[in-house]
Amino acid sequence: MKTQSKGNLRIDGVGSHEGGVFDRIEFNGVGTLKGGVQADEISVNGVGTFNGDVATGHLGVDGMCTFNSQVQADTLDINGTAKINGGLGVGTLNVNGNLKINGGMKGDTMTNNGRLVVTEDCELEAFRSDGLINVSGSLNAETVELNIALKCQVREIGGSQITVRQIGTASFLESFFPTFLQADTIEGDIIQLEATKAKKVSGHEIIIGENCDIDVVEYTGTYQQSPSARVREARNLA
Amino acid sequence: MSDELISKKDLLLVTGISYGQLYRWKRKNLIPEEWFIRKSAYTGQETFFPRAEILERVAKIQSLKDTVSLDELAAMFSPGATHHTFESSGSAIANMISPTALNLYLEETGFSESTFNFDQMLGIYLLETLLKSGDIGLDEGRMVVGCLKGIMEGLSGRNTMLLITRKLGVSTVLFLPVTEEVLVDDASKIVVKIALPKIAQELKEKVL
Repeated sequence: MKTQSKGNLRIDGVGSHEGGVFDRIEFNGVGTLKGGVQADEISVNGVGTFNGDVATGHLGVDGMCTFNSQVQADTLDINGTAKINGGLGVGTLNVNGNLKINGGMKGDTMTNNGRLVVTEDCELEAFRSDGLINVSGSLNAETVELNIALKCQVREIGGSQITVRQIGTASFLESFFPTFLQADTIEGDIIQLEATKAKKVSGHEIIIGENCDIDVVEYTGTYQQSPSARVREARNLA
Repeated sequence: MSDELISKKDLLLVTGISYGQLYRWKRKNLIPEEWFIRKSAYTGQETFFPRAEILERVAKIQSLKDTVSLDELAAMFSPGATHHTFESSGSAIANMISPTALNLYLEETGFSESTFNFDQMLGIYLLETLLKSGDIGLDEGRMVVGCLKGIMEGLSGRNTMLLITRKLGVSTVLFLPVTEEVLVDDASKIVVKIALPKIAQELKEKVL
């Protein structure tokens, strides 16, 4: 509910602004915001730089944007390239382009069809990726669904249901750029893996599928292993 | 391996909770980040928890999770204040606080409004707990309230402990950071040593 108009900020061309509270912020050229901003909607179609904290309902990046502080958004759509040098708090995150977060993120749901890099921990309810991901911290989500192509990396994965599938057809590229997920540990209730290299996988129901290479599997319920998977040791803890 | 720590694997086995629950509770801040202690083990890094704290916390979550939502539980375990207010003539006060403690608090602070916020309620509840335990007398209670006045704002978010010492019948009331180690001379006796976050949690459990 809007009770009072706070005004719009629109930069077409090259411009900068101190920041403040707005209804809508739109960049169609090269824009810089020197301070923090709060807005119902922010749309970056050119090149944007935000040097202060950003709090918004919807944030869309169709061009290129750098955030040098915390970002808080109900929905965040990245169709271009964005870099967040600070933490991200988000309701729904859609990455169709390229997003790098130098920090951690907390959110509700996210889908990645592009490339996502996070240098610290990710906490979400639902995490789905059909693109490239690289998480240097831990990924904690109720459901984790990774459909991987090329090399993806997540240091630790934890949650209720964790599924990793290999997508894409085998081509000659595969021998130069193999598809696999590299992880240290994967812990969950129901785990289904393909093309995963991990030191340790622990859970209740575990299926180790094709092309996996796992050092240790620990399970308390059921366990299945594909003939093409390599598992050094599988322990039943129940 | 130290007895004070428990590995994640053992925690799951002992309590019967699943990885999904543990990670969910962590996301909801029911288990503080500081309790996840990383140590290197032969399989790489393993996570350990402070044994007593985590077992108590898990038991509490398990006993309450069917009746209280996870978000409410998170509010209960978080150190800060809740948005609760308390009517001075309401049933919460009547059930938890004796008239003696309430009157003493009102006299000392000169508080005249009809509702208390959570921090003020915590002060009253602390006083009530101390008086009820019989460890302190009314005069010492007055000293505690007098001392509390200065740190009332944001009281529930502070990691503070209350220390009352007595030497030859003369009492001293101190509020110190929980982490401080306290040494007193032989003639002094520590009558009360109580961490405020613990009292705040007790109060939250009663009112939520």
